[in-house]
Amino acid sequence: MTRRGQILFFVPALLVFLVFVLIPCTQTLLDSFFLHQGARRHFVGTLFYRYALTDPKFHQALANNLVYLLWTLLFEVVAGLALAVGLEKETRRHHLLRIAFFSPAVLSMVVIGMVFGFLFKDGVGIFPGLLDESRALLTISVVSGWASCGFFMVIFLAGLANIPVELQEAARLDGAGPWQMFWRVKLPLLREVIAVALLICFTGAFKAFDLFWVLLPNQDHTSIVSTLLVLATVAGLWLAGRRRVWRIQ
Amino acid sequence: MRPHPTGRRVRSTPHAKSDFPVQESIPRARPLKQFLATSAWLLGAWLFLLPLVWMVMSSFKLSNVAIFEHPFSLPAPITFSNYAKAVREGRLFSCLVNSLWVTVLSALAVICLGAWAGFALGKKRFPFRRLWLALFFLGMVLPVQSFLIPLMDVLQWLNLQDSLWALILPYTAQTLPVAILLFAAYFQSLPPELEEAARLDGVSTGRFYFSILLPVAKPAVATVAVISCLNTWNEFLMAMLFIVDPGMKTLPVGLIAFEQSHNTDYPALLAGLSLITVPTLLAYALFNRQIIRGVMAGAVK
Repeated sequence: MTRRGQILFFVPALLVFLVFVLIPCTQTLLDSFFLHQGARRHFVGTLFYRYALTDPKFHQALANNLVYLLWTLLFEVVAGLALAVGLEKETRRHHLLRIAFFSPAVLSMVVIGMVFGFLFKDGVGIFPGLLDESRALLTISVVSGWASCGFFMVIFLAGLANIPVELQEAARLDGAGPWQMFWRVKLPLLREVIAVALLICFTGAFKAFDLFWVLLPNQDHTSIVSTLLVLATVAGLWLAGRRRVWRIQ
Repeated sequence: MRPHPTGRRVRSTPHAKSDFPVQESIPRARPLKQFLATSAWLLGAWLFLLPLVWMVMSSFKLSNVAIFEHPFSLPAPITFSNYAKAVREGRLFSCLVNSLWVTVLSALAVICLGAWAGFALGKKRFPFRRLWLALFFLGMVLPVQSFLIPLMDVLQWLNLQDSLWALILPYTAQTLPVAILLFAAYFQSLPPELEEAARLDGVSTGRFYFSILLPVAKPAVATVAVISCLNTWNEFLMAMLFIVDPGMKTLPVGLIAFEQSHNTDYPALLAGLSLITVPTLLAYALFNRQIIRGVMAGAVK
């Protein structure tokens, strides 16, 4: 294939990616240094960054985000790893159980949020009070763990399947019990997969939005950075009188 | 099939060490323990799936009272009127059609563009190859919340706002990175002789791509299709912000709107939720191999 042919194949995807991801990202970055007043803009340097970093709301959201990240590490990654190690064998029973534990991962977070919202509803729900200020973050983390631990299980299963059988065989012959086998053989060999899982969990915690939006509308103290961003976006558009009034709950 | 007996089991039956899949013979070793372990797993799975079971069960109940005062009883009598109501009053049918359009069109676009670009980037000597891969990786980890306003500007500039294209194109752009990385890895793993032989036979690049490479890449296409469909079908934030016209809403947004207008009619709401969940679960039951393989590939590559 000629060099020109290759480039021709590459250009359409790059174009779409450029227009709908890269250019908007760059624009955000550029805009962050300017103050917009109508059609005019003034360069203000890092003013907005300093503003955000001293804003208590932003601090709160960032802190909430970190707490949420830590909980999801436990309820998504660690739980997924435990499921993967427990359901590692290629038997029919384990396959069926894997299907069961993965199934929430194909559902929309909106659906998940609404179902749990009904279960936790004050007054009528089966488990009322779980969305109180003090417990909401933990509750949401558990729900998102419920939704995503199957996803992480599948990632770890892929990693476990790549561990050479001979290695486990050898460890077993040397008298390693299941516990030792896990800490000394499997975990070290899963290093790369664990790194990927941590990356996914980390970016996921900062991308999280749907569950918070559906389960905790209008709660300041439990907002995370992304809900703050979306609210700011909506408010900004609204203030700028752009196009139409956004109907947001 | 690979035997993966754990140490514990093998210690109890040391003679079972062999290269054969010996699972069938192992349970007899400690029947009680095995039975307890299986029961615990089944109980765990049942509790795990209970919220979904509760959702579907409650959607057949007559009233809020039946749902919340006897949450775990079976629906008696069973009623389908909630479903009729959800479809009629929630406009869920038009949302379903919109969701289908968006999902199918962006999956097709992702597969086409992603396979082309992946094919090009799979070549070791593509110009600035590492730079492009790094950029696509960046696109994978950046949250969309950070560039919503400029993205809306782009959509307005292209005069796409309030149409399904305002979702199809951004979804395509955001799924492309994963697709390209997967396709590039897949095409790289193919033997270079394939292209060599085709060139010697005088096959044109276009024909080579469509009639040789794409059929060979079927597993990668399935994987990418699964990733794209799942992401698109369930996406909520952009669907909520970019679409105002009620006739253009997708299912997750339609459900939220339905919840706001019927916020105490739980049977109808749960029917609506079941309605959009059950097709997903059915598709999952049918394609669980492909889906799980898709997730594995997406994560490990």
